[in-house]
Amino acid sequence: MDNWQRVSKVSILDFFVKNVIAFVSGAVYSIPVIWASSDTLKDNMQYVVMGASAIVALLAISSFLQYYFFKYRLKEDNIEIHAGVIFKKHLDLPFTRIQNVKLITPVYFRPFDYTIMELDTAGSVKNEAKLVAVPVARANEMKQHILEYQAIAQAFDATDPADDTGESVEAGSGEADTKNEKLLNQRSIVDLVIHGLTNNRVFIFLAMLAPMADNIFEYADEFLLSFGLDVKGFLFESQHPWWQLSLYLIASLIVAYIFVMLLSILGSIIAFYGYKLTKRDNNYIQRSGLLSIHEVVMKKPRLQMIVRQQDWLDVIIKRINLKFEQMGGIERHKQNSLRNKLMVPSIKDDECEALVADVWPSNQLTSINYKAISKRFIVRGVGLFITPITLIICVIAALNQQWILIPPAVVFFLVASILIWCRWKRWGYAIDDEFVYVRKGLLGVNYYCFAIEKTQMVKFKQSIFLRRHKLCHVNFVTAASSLTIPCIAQDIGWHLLSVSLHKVESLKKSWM
Amino acid sequence: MEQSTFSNEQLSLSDLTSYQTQESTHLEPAYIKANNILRLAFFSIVLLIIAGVKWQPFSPLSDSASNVFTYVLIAASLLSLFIVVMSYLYDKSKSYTLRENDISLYSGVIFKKVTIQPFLRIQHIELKQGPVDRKLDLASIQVFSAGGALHTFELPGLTHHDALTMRQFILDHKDVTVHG
Repeated sequence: MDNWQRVSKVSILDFFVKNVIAFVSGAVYSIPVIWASSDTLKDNMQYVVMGASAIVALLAISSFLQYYFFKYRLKEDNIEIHAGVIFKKHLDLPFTRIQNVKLITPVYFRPFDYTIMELDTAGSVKNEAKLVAVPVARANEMKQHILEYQAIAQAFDATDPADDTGESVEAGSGEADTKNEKLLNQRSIVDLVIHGLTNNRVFIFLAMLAPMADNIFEYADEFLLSFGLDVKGFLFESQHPWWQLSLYLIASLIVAYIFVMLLSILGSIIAFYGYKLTKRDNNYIQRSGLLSIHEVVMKKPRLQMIVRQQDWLDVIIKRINLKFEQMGGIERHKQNSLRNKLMVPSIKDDECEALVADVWPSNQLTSINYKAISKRFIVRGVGLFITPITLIICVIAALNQQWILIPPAVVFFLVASILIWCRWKRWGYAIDDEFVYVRKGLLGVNYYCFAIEKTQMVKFKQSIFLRRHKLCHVNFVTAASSLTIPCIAQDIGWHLLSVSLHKVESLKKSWM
Repeated sequence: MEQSTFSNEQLSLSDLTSYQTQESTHLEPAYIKANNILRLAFFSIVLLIIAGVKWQPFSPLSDSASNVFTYVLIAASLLSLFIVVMSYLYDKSKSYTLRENDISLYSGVIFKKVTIQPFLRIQHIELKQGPVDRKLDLASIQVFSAGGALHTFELPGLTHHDALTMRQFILDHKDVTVHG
């Protein structure tokens, strides 16, 4: 086991696909050139074919070289990786530094029963280790090995309360397959459709199409033209009465909305198809995905914050997105954050409660009594932002004698004020012996909750306006994200901060 | 767990609210002065360039363009003055307190802010010295927690010696050595 070994030859396939994707997204910008010179290209078809096959051959050769130079070796307590054709990379990753072991199975690996193993570290994205094309059984075995090692290391770590580590060590002797995992939640297609409707998941779909975006817009234009629908001519040169035009406009907006909804549903299904959340010992495992199956593992001590999210549509149909945030929510994984996070999409209230109770049993996320923030929040919002904007619009309108602008300004003032009131109404905070709770939202409502002892840093903020009224904002920074409670009495603010600092400094618990 | 030596334990909650009233150390006057001079120099150069364009003899501006430059010059001077004064007050307002288990940074003129970083949660510390800092024997300390780069605790304007001492103090702190 200590010797250098290569990954399976199947990895060439993955390297090839990645290379092709990289090439295509790089070559998108040359489409206009190719299109402009299409006549010349057509006349010299044989050269085009030769060139294309040369490119494909080059990509294939480089994929093979990538495979050839990729070696890894697994030791007792670390994994070493040698990679790179021209720029060599040597990575030495101790198991204790691994935050997360992810298994991703792209669609083209599924027939071979291979998977991609991604080892997340706390450091930068550059240091991430990726083993392409590992047999699924072997990947599970390695994952188990790493987790076992971490569990044992943790058991020896005096700083960590030996609360549940014993259990993990014991279970380490079991098989690595999914048999001894307890199913916590799974999502059906109906749930995913609901999720697509209530949450905008268009970007998942768009992200997949990004390399081809230009073409799609071009085709869409041609497609519409082929139906005899000349948008430009219709809008600017016709003599249709205004009501007809606005009807068309409304109709096309509705069509566009439905179209976006469909894409969103598609995106939701692509991301969450076959969603399963399971638990083994202290590890929560999420598997989902239509094309590539993503597996995210979260160890319970790594959990920083629970977020219970409801958009306004979710509030109406009573569905909840429940997020379990691990570290580094802000900077890392910006692009496909959704897939790296542990999130249970569109669950019902009782399911949400069961999951939260399973993770943090003493948690009172929804049952605790939330205290309101100061009403000055409304005064501040209306006085500092809305009134000045309205006044400026009115003055400009008056100076130019455009009286027609006054009613919209008044409507803006009213609507914005009502929204500020809604926002104030949603704000709430609470604290108990273990957790800090925050509720916020506008039309929807989100609940946040984190263990006090996992606070990284606290901030107290006060402007002149707030100081006069003895109010303040407080900000808690955790490893997952930061939470602000605005406009609360400064005594309460200091009390919250002092209590949490005291908890952190006296309990001396590890945050992960 | 052996937690018996912890000294914050016996304080009551009302004692703990002292974060707001505790004494704090201000930044080195040399740092504030140097910062002021640098800012003044920078804005002077900007204003000089604008004035230079307005009054240069090589290709005289038209009357209307010259007028525009007068306004620009006035606006830029006012803005520079405002920034210089506010930055000076901001530097003056910054102070810090080192306690047994955490470090606090006070700052802000209009928006007062107190940032408190427990030693227990520190991941690593950086000591930085720019060219001006080196000349004046100053340094700044950056403290990183797992909260991410957005929430880096930065304390500028220490003497180099103080910065080294502080870094060593934090590194030697039992919370950092055990949990780091």
